[in-house]
Amino acid sequence: MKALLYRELIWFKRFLADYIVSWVLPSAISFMIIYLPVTISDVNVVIDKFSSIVGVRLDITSVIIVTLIMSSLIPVVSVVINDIIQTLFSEFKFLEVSSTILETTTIRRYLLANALVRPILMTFFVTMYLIPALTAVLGLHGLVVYIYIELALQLTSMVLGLYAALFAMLITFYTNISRPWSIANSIPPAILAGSGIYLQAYSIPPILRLFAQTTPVPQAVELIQVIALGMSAPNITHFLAVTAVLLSTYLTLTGFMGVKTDIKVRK
Amino acid sequence: MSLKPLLRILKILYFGTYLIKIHLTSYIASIINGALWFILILVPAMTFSEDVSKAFTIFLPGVLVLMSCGVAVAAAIEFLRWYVNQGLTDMFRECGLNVFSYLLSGVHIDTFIFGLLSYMLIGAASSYYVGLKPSAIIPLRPLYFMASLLTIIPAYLLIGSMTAYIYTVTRISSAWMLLAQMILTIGTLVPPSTSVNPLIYLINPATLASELARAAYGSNVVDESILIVLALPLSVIYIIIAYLLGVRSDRYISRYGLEYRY
Repeated sequence: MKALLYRELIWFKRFLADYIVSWVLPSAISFMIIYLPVTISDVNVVIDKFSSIVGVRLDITSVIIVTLIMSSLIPVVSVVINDIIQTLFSEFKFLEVSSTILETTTIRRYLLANALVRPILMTFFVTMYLIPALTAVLGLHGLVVYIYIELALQLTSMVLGLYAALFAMLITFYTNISRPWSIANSIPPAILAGSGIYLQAYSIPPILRLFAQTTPVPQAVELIQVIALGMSAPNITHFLAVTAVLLSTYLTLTGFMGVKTDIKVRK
Repeated sequence: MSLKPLLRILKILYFGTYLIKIHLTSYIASIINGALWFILILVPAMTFSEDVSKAFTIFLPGVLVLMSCGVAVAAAIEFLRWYVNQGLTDMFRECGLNVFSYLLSGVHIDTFIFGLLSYMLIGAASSYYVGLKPSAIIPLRPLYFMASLLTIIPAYLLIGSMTAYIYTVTRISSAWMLLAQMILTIGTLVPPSTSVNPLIYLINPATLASELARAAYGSNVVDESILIVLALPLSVIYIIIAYLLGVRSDRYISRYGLEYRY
């Protein structure tokens, strides 16, 4: 655990450029979603259409804040899934540190630590841009909004960590895929496109919606939207129920598969 | 006139065609995940617009150019970063192939196959989301569309060579190149209509091809006559600058070397 924490902090320092990009990209996406239609339409029409999707009448500042907050899901989903899958694969297939890992711990414990601890840190690192952005626009209230958003994102990322660990295990130990990044890179946009960020659920193709439902991201989108809209008492029961079910399912599966994989790898 | 340069170009293209076998999985994955990422941005942008079908014909053509030119950035980084680690960059260079040659070797695949397939997939998916017929992606004026595809080639070479030159002579991380890909959206995805003088957007080498693609749907901002007049001279200038930047990068590597860096 200590080693994982230490490595994550070192990686943050070493890959700071990547983290900066992960702050700029979602901000740019949230900006583009409003700016692009404004280039060819009346700004009031764009605000009206956005308001009709979220179900609350907003002004331009609120639209920008809501899209910015919603965009925080983008780096969380992509970084957690990509990193969990690619780290396991590269440590066992490229970097050849598997013997060191197997000497010190079991694959089950290693996977669970990776899947539960690292997403917490990574989520905090990739959403740091929200702190100055929200405080600048909303003042101290922005900090409160950030804490709520962060809690929702942290819970989501833990489930995503376990979800990615399952994929990582299958790719690394049960298949002969030479380019795992092709899978790791395709899962996040599929989840995000199926979760309906900035869109109404009915317009999403059923297959993408079904795929996204294997994660708590669609429920996180709903919850974060409600928090971003400033509704005083968001209903968190649905989000918590789905997260709890998925967390326990993936925890059991990762634990079970971890034991099996440990025996297989040691043999 | 000697046929040697032409034969050399053909050899490089032949070599690039065979390289596709190595990259096939990556190409397929990139087409799928590129489409999914664009759906995430394009579909809401179209949905929030006043006229969805107009938005479709304005934003979508930019995707064609952006997808191809985005690969140019990735290909340049591949040559100067990933291949360095495996010693392949040196091997290519010993055979007289610098980064310009490497970009040239894949330009036909990245434009006519990867770019076009990505475009069709993104177009079909976006039309489904916004309730348009899939036939909406068929260009009304195919000649402009062909002209756009042809002008992507010099833009691809120049953007790739510029990326390579910046990466070679500075110490910046390759992660910053993702931001360079974002700058490419100005003039491609973002139409030049946002400026008083749309011609200023031509600073982005990818704008010319995007405007020609938009002209294929009748949604161009820069006048067609200007686009036609500029297409040939700008293409030649882009290729010459790209070639010179490739040579300069190679000279720099010969003198100072190129270490593997993230």
